Amino acid sequence: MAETETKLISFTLNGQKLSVPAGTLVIEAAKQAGIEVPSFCYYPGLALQAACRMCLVEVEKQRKLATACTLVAEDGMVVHADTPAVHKARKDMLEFVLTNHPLDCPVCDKGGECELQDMTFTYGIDHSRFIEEKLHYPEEKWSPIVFYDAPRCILCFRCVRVCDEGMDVKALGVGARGVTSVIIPNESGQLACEECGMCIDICPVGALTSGTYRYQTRPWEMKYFGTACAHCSNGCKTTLSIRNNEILRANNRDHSGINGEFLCAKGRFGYDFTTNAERIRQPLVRKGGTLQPASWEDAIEEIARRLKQAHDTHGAAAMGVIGSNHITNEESYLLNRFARTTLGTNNIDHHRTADYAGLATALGSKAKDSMATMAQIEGASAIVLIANDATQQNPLVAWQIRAAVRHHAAHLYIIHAGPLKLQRQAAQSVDVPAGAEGRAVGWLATGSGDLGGKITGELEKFKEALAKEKDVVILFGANVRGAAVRNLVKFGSGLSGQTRYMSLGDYSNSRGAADMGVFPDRLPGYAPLSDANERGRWGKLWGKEIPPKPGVNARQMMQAALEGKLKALYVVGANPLKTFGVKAPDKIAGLDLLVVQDMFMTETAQRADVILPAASTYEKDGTLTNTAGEIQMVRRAVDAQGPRSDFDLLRILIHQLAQLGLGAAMKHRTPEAVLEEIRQNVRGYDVSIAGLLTGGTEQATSAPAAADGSYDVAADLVFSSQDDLFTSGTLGRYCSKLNSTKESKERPWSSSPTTQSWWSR
Amino acid sequence: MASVVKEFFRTFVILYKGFKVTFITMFKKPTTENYPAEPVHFQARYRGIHVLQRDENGLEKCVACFLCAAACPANCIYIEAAENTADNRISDADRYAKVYNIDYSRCIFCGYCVEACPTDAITHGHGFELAPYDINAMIYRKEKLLEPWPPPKATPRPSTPSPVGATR
Ligand code: SF4
Ligand code: SF4
Ligand code: SF4
Ligand code: SF4
Ligand code: SF4
Ligand code: FES
Repeated sequence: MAETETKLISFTLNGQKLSVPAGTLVIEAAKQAGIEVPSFCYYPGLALQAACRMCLVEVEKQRKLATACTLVAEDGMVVHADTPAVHKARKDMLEFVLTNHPLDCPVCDKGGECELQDMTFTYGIDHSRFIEEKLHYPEEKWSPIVFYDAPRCILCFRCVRVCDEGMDVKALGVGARGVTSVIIPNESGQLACEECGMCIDICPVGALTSGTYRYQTRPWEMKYFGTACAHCSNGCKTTLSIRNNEILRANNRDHSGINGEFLCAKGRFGYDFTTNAERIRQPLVRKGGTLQPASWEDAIEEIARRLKQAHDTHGAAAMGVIGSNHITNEESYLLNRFARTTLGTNNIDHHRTADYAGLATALGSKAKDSMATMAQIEGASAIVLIANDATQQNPLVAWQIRAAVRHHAAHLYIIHAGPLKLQRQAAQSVDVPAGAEGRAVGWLATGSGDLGGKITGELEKFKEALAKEKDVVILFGANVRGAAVRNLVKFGSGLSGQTRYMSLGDYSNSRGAADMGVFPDRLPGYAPLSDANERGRWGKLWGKEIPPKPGVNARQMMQAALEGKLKALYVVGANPLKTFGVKAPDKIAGLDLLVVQDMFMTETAQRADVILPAASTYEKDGTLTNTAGEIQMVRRAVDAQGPRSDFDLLRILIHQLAQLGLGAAMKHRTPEAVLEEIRQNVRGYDVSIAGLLTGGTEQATSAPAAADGSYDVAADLVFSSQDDLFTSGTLGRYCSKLNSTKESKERPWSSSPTTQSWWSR
Repeated sequence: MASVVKEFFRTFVILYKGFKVTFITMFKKPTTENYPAEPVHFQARYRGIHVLQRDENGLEKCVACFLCAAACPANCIYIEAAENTADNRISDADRYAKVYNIDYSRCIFCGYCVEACPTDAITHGHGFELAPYDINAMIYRKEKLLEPWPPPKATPRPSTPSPVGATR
């Protein structure tokens, strides 16, 4: 967003002259100057409440103390935050806050990281003049993951506001009056909501606790690992709290990264798949029709031998590789090397959940300034959302959109089939028939296309409104693909202001898989396979020539496998049987060898000849690229007990096969070394390593050297799994805490979107 | 002559001074303990092997707050907490210690844990015979540290002479 010129004013705080932009709150100015003004109810980004009165300060020429959290600094104002009157006020306020607060610290989950504890300690209130008995209420279980302990509540209303403003769910309210006030959930003692846990996270005390973490440990007993979420493509930064090699909690502890304090239900509670009892923990080899445990040596040896055999008897064209939307960039990169040089085939693909290749190809050299980041969503003056239910599929994107509308009065424009919760924020919304989103985009770009008079009329207005916007971010889902993406870019670049794009995919490294070239016809960085120079460059790097003939795509591979044209299929972290709806009762008929690297017995794994247990995102090092192209490091927070990372598995296999004469051996031993190779060679990935190492994000803007106007892609190759807030592809099935919520079972939005007050618009 | 008398007198004073303590002590009750043949006598506040206390209903007093573990300079207390439920009530509060270990190969008997405990759950008993042949046996589990329940009759917890071998 263009920084608007703001006037500076100056005022005095504790005798210090401060110069701040007009409109700054005294509490914010104090924070910037390093002067502490305590607060409970004030929370940046939420409406002002002035409920706790902890922030009282003295203003010269005002008789009464003022709340710094609502006091706007004025020119010439003289404020004191360090006078006896202020100190007394703080003590007295704390005494009030503690009137009914129980002495629960030893058992309270918040103990050790509690704002009330800290304040009481800092401001030295060690006694109370109240002799009345404290009010007591029993603890309430609002949902399997949200618990409320009323006596601990200090009525700061942060939870109410974050649910209302931040989440736009409005599931919490205040009941009763005065000291007897309590927070009440929306459905007679129960919550019906998005179960994001934001209210738990934001609660300054231990009044709201999480069903997944409560009463297990204490904050100082855990180790903390900053990493990225394993679920959707938004790539929220999260901190995993670890004790005894077990993840006990996930929250973005330091509020850093692209998501600030935000995490959705999946990010916050969906980490327990790592310890799910169904996890495969040792290699399995099919012997006499059944999968039997085997040693690592035997399993790897078996795979290498049979791959070599299939390769020698049926040729490289009979080999296929299916990549993953979840594995790290380094692993996808290695998989690409494995397919193209070790197996010598271009039959490599993955489930494309968004047309990243289409966007990169349409943008070409413009990609560098035209790919939006998560932060730019909040900063934009207008946001266009096409063919995606961001609230469900891309929760962080939706959070950012709401923030843009709330804080910066940004305009939201929607083109979508059916009702969306985000329509509450929309300036204009065009309802098109399902599947017609691409045509609507075509109409915007070219003015032609049969959509019916009503829709074209609306699109006309849509276009007019957008023409006036200065800074537009266009977000689009999987239904805008191929030619439609090109049309979208054509339309976007015709707008008068700055236009940026973001293609919205499904999973944690959907974008990374695309950027790393897990395609039959694209090399890393979307370099076209048809380009002999590129082929030569990558072949040289990987120690063997890359065949020029493009491979077959994922659907064709599955078909070929059924027909017996494909003999060996290597699947990493994917479930193509389910994804592509392949019918294969007990075995994929034509295959000689099916190898699966995965965490669980998926439909595909059940039919495998060899299964190698793989480590999860939380159990390995590497990088992930979110849907906006923002790269983040993931760290091994817990040790996978049994499984090994896909990186190690591929590395070992490449080595084994090189010994048998397939492909070249690889010198890299660690993900870091491969990341270095990626940084040096993949277009758009030459990002700062320091930025990544310090827990930040760096945006990758991979795109082919030249835009290619002829790029198109079949509709059945780019499609979204339509995951919602409580599903996460195959992985989601194994998140038991997530699945224990009643919303995950009832899915109120899918059956009757308009009857749910908290959900519908 | 005078010098002989003086010498004699001086010797007498020196001997008197030297043997005074000996003679006085000869008629006092001995301080040394005839351990292990006889029971050891403890000061009431002797810091021996810990005892995890119970309340008057037999519930464990420990609420698994981890404060003892945080206070412990030797880092030898290990706790795992769990939630009390209606049919499995172990302590009076919301949570209890599912696992509570003290590693006596590291404990320095400083008493900080006892001081830190908000519920007076952990106390020092008078047990001291810790030496085992296997160092692993020095990790005492909760079951070993807990006060027995129901309390065994007629064995008042000794602050006065305790029988040899008794750990509390
Ligand atoms: S949606 Fe539910 S979990 Fe999220 S803030 Fe609102 S009440 Fe809390
Ligand atoms: S539950 Fe927590 S966040 Fe909500 S009002 Fe009470 S103290 Fe504030
Ligand atoms: S929005 Fe996506 S990345 Fe963020 S916490 Fe939720 S699932 Fe994870
Ligand atoms: S006595 Fe001291 S060293 Fe021993 S457990 Fe207690 S705090 Fe730790
Ligand atoms: S013994 Fe006391 S200090 Fe230690 S965990 Fe139990 S209640 Fe807390
Ligand atoms: S922070 Fe100002 S009143 Fe609560």
